[in-house]
Amino acid sequence: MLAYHLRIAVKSLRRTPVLSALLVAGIALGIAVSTAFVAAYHTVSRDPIPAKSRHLFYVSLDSWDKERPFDDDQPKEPPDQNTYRDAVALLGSKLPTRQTAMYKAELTVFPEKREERPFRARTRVTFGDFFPLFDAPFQYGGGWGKEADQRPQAVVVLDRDTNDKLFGGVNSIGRRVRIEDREFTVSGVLAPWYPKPKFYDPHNGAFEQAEQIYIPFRFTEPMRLLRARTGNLSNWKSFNWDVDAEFFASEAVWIQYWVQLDTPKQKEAYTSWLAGYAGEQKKLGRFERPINNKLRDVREWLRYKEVVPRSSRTMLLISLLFLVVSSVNLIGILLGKFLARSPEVGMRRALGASRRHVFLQHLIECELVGVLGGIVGVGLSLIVLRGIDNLRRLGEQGPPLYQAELPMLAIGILLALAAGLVAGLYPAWRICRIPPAAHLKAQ
Amino acid sequence: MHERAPAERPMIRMKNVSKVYRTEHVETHALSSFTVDIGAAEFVAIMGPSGSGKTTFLNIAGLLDTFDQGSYWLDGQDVSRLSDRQMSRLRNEKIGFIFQSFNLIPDLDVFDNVDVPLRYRGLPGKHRRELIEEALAVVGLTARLRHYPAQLSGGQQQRVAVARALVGRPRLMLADEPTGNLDSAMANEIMDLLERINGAGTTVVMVTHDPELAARAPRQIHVLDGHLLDLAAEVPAPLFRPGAPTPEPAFGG
Amino acid sequence: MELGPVFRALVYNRARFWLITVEVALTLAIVVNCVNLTFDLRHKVLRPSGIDEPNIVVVTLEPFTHAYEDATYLHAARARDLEMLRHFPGVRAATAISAIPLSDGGSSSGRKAEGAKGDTLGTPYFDVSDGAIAALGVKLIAGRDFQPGEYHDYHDAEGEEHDRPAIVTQKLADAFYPAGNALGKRVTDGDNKTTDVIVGIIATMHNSWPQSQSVEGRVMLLPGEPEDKRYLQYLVRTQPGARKAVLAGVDDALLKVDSGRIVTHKTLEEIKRGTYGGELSLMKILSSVVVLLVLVTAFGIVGLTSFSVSQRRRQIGTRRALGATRQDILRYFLLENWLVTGSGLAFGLGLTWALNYALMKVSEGPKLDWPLLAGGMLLLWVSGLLAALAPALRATRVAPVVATRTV
Repeated sequence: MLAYHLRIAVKSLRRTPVLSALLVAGIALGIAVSTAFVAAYHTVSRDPIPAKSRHLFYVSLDSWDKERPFDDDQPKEPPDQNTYRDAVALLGSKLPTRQTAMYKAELTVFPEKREERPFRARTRVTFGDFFPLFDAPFQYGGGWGKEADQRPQAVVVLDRDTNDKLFGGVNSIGRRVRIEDREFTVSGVLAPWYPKPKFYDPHNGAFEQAEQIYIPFRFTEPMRLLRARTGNLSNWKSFNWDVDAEFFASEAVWIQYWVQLDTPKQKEAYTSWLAGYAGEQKKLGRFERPINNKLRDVREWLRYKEVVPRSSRTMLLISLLFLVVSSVNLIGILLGKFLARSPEVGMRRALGASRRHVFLQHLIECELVGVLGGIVGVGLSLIVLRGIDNLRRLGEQGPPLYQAELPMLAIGILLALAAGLVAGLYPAWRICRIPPAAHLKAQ
Repeated sequence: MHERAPAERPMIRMKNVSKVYRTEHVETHALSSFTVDIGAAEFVAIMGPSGSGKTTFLNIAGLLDTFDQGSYWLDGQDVSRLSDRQMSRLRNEKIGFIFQSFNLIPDLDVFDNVDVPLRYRGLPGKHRRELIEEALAVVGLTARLRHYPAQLSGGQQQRVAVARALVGRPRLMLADEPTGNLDSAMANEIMDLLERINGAGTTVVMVTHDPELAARAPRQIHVLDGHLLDLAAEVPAPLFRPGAPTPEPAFGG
Repeated sequence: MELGPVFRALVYNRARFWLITVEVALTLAIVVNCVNLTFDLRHKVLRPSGIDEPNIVVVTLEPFTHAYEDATYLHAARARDLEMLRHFPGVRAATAISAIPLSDGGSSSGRKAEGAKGDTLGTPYFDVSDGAIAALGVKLIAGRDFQPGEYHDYHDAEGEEHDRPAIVTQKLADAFYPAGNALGKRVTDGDNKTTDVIVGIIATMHNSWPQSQSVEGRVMLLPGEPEDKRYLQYLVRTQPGARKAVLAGVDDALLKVDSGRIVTHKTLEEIKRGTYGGELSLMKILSSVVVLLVLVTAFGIVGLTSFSVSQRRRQIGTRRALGATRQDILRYFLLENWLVTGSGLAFGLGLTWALNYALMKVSEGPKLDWPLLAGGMLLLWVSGLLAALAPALRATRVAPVVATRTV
C-alpha cells in the first residue's frame, strides 16, 4: 500500500510541475537557512574537546585590587588571567596529571633561504604538556619533554602551513629555524588543527586560528619575550614596565593556566593546594581580596567567557522562525492543492478508500515534498554556510570556521521531515474528511 | 450604434447568428444561421438533445458568449459590438440567470448571494436590503438569510438562485436546465416560480430536457445541430403542446 | 465597495484566512526586527569617527635588527621615516602613533579631574609624534596643538610623569570638567603619579574601540613617541584620491630607508572593516534573510491566491453572468488580499513587539524603531498586493460562460 501511496504522490506532484517546484523550493529555502544557522550555532557553541572537557580546568586566582573588582559587571569573579609570578608558582604543584602556563606572542621567523624575507609568526609560548593536554594532532614528530621545559632547549613545533612555508612541507624534524636571534630545532609539525572555539585561549579571539609556532615557556626571560607578547594584559598596580624584573614581579595578569585533573579526588587535592597557596600569598601581603580561586572545566570556562556571539543566537532564532514561515507557506499551498482535488478524493472514497487511506495518501505526498525540499535544502545550506563564512572573514584567507558536518546535514533532513509532517497534517486531515458523496453529484 | 428597433420590440431578435468552436483539428458549428424572435413577456422552452446548441443559444442570448456572424438585438439594442463592460452592465440590469447547478457562491450566505447583482449595480444599502427581502419573500426563504448554501437542500438552493435572478428586476430571465438537479416535486416548485415571474411580465427563456416541464411553456423551440425548429411556427400538431395556443409574434423571421 | 461580503466570505474560509494571516504576521515580525537590527548596526558602522577615514593609510614596520632597541636609534629612525613619508608624493601628513584608532587594539588608562573624588574614568590614549592632528584629520576647536619642544619622555627619576600636555576630545573634556572649563586644567591618575594638562580640545574622534559604549568618544592625545620598540606605526594621510598611488610605492620607499624590517600596510578603512567584521557580515546576512523571506511569503500569497482563483472559477463566471465587470472581479480579489494581509499585519504588530522583546533578552538586540514598523507594514502590504496581482488578473479573464458549463 505504501508503494501505491508513494506512486500516487509522485504522480500528483508531477501533474503540477511548476507548483511542485515552488513547494519544494519554498521548503528548501527554509531548510537551507535554518540548517546553515543551526550548523553555525553548533560550531560556536559546541564542546570543542568532548573526551576531556570535564577533566581540563582553567585556573584563576584572585590577585586583584582590593579597592575594585576585576570586572565591575561581575564583581564576584577573579581576573581571567594570571600573573607571571603566580603562574610560575603554580608550576610547583605535582598534583595535576598535566599542566601548562602559556601566552600568545608574535616572533620574527627567518626562513633558511636568505632571499626570502623574514616574517612575524603567531606564537604560543607554552610547556610541552600543551600538546597532549589539548590533543593537538601531529603530522611529524611530536612536542617536547620535561627536560626541554626545565632548562629550556631551543625546540619548536610548527603548524603545517608554516612548515610548508619554511620547508616546503617535507618532514622537517631536526631541521633548524631561526626565531628572533636564536636557532631552534624542529621537534614536531602539527597536522591541520583548528579548534573551534579556541577554548584554551578565548581571550584573544575565540574563533581565531591556532598559533603558527610553539616554543618553550622558559625562554620568556632569556629571550625577553615580554616585548613580544601580544595577548590581552590587565594591570591595576603601577610598576616600571621597562624593567623586566619589575614586570615579572608585577600584578599584571596575562598568563593562561590549564591543568588536567582526572579524578574528583585529584581535583579536591588540587583545590586545597590552591587554597593553601592563596593563603600563603595573603600572608605575604598579596591577595587582598577574599580568597577566590576558581577551577573551571572547559564548558564552564567557555560559558563564563561568553564565547557564543550574540549574533549567532539572534540568527538561530530568526532562521528557525524562517523555517516556520516556510512551513506555514507549505500548509497553505498544500491545502489549496488538496481541496482543489476534492472531487477526485470523493470518488476514491466512493470507490472504497478509507479515511485513513486518504489521510496517509496525502501525508505521504507532503512528506515527499518535505524530503525533496530537505535534500535540496541541505545542498543549499552548504552554499549558505559558505556564504556566511565568507561574509564573516571579509575576504581574508584561511580555513573556514563554519563547516558542514554530517550530523548537521542529518539534522537538516530531519527538520525537513518534521516540516513536511507538520505542514501536511492539517491539509491531509481536511481532505480525508471529504464525504464520499459530496462531489459526485454533477456540479 | 444600434439599429432602429421595430415598433413592437421583441425581447430577443436573432438573425442568422452563427457560432463556431474551433480547436486545432475540429470546427464545431454550435449554431448556424440561427434566427429567432422572442417577444416580451413570452415564456419559451428551448429543447433539444445534448450538444444541439441550446446552451450556446442561451449563452449568446444572455451575453455570456459572443457569436461569429449574424445580428442580435436584445430588447431592441444591437449587442454585436458591445464592450465587455457594456455587456456586463446589460447582464446586470436586464437579465436574470438561473443555472442547472444553482451556482450559488459557497462562501456567501443566502442574503449575500442574492445581494451579488445589486452590489454590481451600486445601489445604496437600504434599498438593496428591501429588494433582497422582497425577492426572498417571493421564493419563500426569508427565514434563512444567514444560511450558507451548504446548509440548504437542492430545492432551497435553486430558490435562492431564483431570488438572485429576480432581485434586479430583469426584463429577461434565462434558465439553463433549472430543474436538472432537482427531484420532480422541487422541479415543479421551481416551474411554479418561473410561471409566476413570467406572469408578472418578465420574459422567461428556459432550456430543458424534460418534455413534461417544457410542455408547461406556451411556446417551445427545438434546437437540432445548431438549427432552429420552432414548433409553434412550423410543427402543427405538437406532441408536447398543451391546449392553449400561443399567440405568434407578429414580426416575421 | 463590498467589504462586508468579502470579509464574511473570508471568515467562512477560515483555513486560508488564518494561514496567510499567520504567515504575514510572522514575516512582518521577522522582517521588521531584521531591518531594525540592520539599521542599528549600520548606524554604528557609519557614524562619523571625526577622522579622515577614506584617506588614511596605516603602515606598520617590525624591525628585526637589534639596533632599534636603542632609544636614540629608534628616535632617529622614526624621524627618517617620517621625513621620507612627508615628502612622498601624494602624502598630506604623517605621524607616528602608539595605536590605531578604530582598530580594536590600543591602550587605556584611568584619569580624573585634578582634585576630584571618586573613581577615575577609563581614558583611551594615544602617544603621538608631531603632525598628529593633521594626519588624523581631526578638528582642533579650542586651545592649541602640541609645540615642537613638547615631544619627549616625561618620566622623572621616580618613574612618575607630570604636567604632560594633552589634547582631548570635547566629550572627554566635558566628562572631566562638566562646567565646560577644561582647557588649561589638569587631569590625574588614581594615585597622583601622573598628571596631564589639557592644552587643546578636538571636536570628535573615535578611539580604538568604537564598539565600546563605556568609553565612546573619549580620546586623549599625548605628545611623545610610542614606547613600543617592536613596532613602528605610522598614520599617513594622503591627498584625496592619492591613496592608491601611495599604497603602491610606500613599502619599497620605507625599505629603502632601512631594509631590516617587515613592512605591512592597510588602509584605515580595511582596519575599520576588520573591527566591524561581525557587524558588517551580520548586516549582509540579515538583509539576505529579509529578501528571501519576503520572496517566500510572496510566493505563498501567489500560490494561495492562484488556488483561490482556480477553485472559484465557476463563482467568478457566475459573478460575471450576474453583471460583474472585469474590474469588479479584480477589485474583489485585491480587496480580499488587502483584508488578509491587513489582518496579518495587525497580528504582526504584536508579534513584532514580542520578537523584539525576545531578541533584546536573548542577544541584547536594539529596541524597536517604531517608524520602521510602519515601513515594514507598507512593504509587506505592497508586496502582498503585487503577489496577488497576477492571479487576480487571471481571474478577470475567466469568461462568463463558465457559469453555464456543467463540468
